[in-house]
Amino acid sequence: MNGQTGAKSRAGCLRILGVFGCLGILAAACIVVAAILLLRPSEMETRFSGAQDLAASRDFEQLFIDLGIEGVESIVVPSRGAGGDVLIIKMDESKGFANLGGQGFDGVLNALAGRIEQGGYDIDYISLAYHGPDGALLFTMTTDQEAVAAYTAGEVSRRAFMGDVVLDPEGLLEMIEDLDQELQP
Amino acid sequence: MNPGSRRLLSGLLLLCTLLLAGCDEAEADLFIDLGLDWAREKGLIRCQDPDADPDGCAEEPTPALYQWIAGEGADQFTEGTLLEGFGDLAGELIKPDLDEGAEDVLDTAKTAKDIVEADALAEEGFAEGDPEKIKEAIAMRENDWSYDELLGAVYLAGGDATAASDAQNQAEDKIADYLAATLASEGLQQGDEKAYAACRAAYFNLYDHREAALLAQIDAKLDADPPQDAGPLIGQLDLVRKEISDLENNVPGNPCQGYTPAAGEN
Repeated sequence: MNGQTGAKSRAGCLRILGVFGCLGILAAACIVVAAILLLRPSEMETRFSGAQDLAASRDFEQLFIDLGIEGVESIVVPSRGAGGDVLIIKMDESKGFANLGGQGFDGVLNALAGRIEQGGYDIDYISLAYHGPDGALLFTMTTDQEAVAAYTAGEVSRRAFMGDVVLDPEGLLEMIEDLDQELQP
Repeated sequence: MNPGSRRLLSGLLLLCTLLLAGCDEAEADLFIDLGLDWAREKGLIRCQDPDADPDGCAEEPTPALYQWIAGEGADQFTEGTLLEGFGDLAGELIKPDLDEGAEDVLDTAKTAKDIVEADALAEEGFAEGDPEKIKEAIAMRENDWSYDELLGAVYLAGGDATAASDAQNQAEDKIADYLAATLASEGLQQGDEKAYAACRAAYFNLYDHREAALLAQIDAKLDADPPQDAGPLIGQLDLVRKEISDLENNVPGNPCQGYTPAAGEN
């Protein structure tokens, strides 16, 4: 009798252990899948994962020199596979950027759009990265080339164009926060 | 617009603008106007009177502005404490729900920022001859072979030819993987005209980066006082220029030879 009770008890324990074991394995699998999904590079990270096109980057840098704007670097990263490239324009005060050389916002955008067309570049996105006097990244503004083309062609207002811009002011906000703390009594 | 939101938005853009050394008042106003246009289009500010002309109306902040600044704590947010909310924004982009349909631009914005930050680190390491900083940049963008080329040139300038060769091999492995993935994503095979063009573009890119990195290190050696020996760097420069010439002329043995259309038809 005792032997039977013991055997039943062991079997019960084994069943419980089995259930918990399965749940544990299931939970671990869920964690692994979640981690893979979270750590997986985004579509654009993969698309623009290669090195910049030096010749194209230099060509856009020359455009800014021609416009009389100093301290601007360009980075053109080709798309891996189908789709156009991303053009990143770095305006860096620590490297001599001071102003738009009298060209104004529209002048610079028109010149950019012209160079993209004349050079036969396939640019899908344009990003502006602004660096402060110490070289720290203050903010970025990103939009797609279609929005720039529509704006420079006069098809949309500046207000509508700005609606297509993604602004990331992280560096600027950190600086404001630092200033705020410095000003605290 | 009421003073709180005006201060908030203007402050943000004004700071950008005032940081532009030598920036004149007209340009400052331009940047503020751009910021306000942006905020209007994002629904962060609106006309107090919905029927008024949007170009000249009195404006007010919308709940979305508070949401954007305060995130989850929007309910407790008051205008007087708007500026305190700046800290909560650090590290965040515009909330996707404010920007429906712009996911690709948002994703590109994040990627562009990563590129800018990794590039700055790599450039710094290259200028200082610090391999560790370049390795940090490589860790941030592990498929970008240009950083391996910078690392290789720094090692070679420091006299470590083995480490330099390893770094160049890493770059070549990455370009081979990149090319394979590119061709696969476009359904191209060796022998296709487009595949050959993609191969040449990829390897010209690799050699451009190698040449530029070597030239910069050679210049640094020769400009030093007293000038330093640049022999190993010049030897590598000659090699990479020969690689470029072989690729241009499709000389047998160049990395894209197997991709030529003629080879594919055979």
